[in-house]
Amino acid sequence: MPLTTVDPTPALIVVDLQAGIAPHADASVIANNVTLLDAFRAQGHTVVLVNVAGGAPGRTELNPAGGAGAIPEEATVLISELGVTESDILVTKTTWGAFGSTDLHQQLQSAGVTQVFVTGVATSIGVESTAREAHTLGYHVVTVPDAMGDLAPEPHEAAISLVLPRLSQVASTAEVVEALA
Amino acid sequence: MPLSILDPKPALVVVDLQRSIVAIGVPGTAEVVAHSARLLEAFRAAGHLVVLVNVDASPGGRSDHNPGGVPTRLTGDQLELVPELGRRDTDLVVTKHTRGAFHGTSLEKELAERSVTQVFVTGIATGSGVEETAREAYARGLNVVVVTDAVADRDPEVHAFVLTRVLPRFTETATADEVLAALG
Repeated sequence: MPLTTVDPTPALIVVDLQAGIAPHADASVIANNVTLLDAFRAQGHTVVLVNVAGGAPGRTELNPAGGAGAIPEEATVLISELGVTESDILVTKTTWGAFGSTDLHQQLQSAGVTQVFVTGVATSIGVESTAREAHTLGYHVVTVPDAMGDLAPEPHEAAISLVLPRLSQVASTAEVVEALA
Repeated sequence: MPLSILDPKPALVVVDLQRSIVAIGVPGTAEVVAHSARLLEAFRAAGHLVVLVNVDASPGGRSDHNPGGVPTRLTGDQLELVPELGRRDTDLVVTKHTRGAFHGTSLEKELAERSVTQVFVTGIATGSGVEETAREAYARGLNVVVVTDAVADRDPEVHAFVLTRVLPRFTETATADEVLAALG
């Protein structure tokens, strides 16, 4: 279903487009993120650029020893295409979701934000987790799949078809830009 | 998969086995209730913390499934935990207002106060309350085990996908028998 409403105070949250992770997104995904950044900044709306510096320690099937460990600093640097500006909110997380290990919720509340648009990498990890947390926190959430990338097609497609429609309105970059205008 | 490690202070978290949800009768509900009851007995006998969760609301953000952004509310009898859980005074009961049992509740604090480092999760639904509770637990630094034959979902595709392709990224999984064997 297309985007129905843009609230007066929306925010764009771009997840983990940083040196170590952005390569999992192809050029069109990066270009769509730049398009969205331009559109949000042009309207003076809140822009949040997220990067990740570490992960949760728990044991998992895929990592039975646990401990995701710290990410090397050079891999945490945001890609230059994002064109960081002084008015952007910069957030560094150490969990999958951008809210859990940061003060992002307080910052958005202070700015009166009621709706967040979520993009970035990886669709099924940082982006999905950020969208889930935002929905739980009471935000209206819009997710933009053509501005997301993942490490493999299956988790990307599954997140978009099985998860995101339950907790967000799913829209294309073009739809969002048109709705913002 | 057999459980790798049982931490010294584990806790059992039983998600949303309340009248309104059990009554829906998603495939596997009876097994979920039965295995949860077995695990509850074992955790209590070992002196480990047991947490019984119920839910009284869901968030109101607009979504494709809920374009009007209408929050839902459950009240009264709908919240009542099913009697098979054999609720005891020593059990911790947590009422959540969203999918995950940690957000907006005292659960994280209660676990930290008791030095719990590992949670075992059962209940309904695999792709909603169970998964979200597991995600929130992992994000808060806990080791998480989801009990595969003690969770169920109305959508078999979601249930299978979550168990095999999603949970392994942030939890361990084990059957009720494997957990009971680890408890000794």
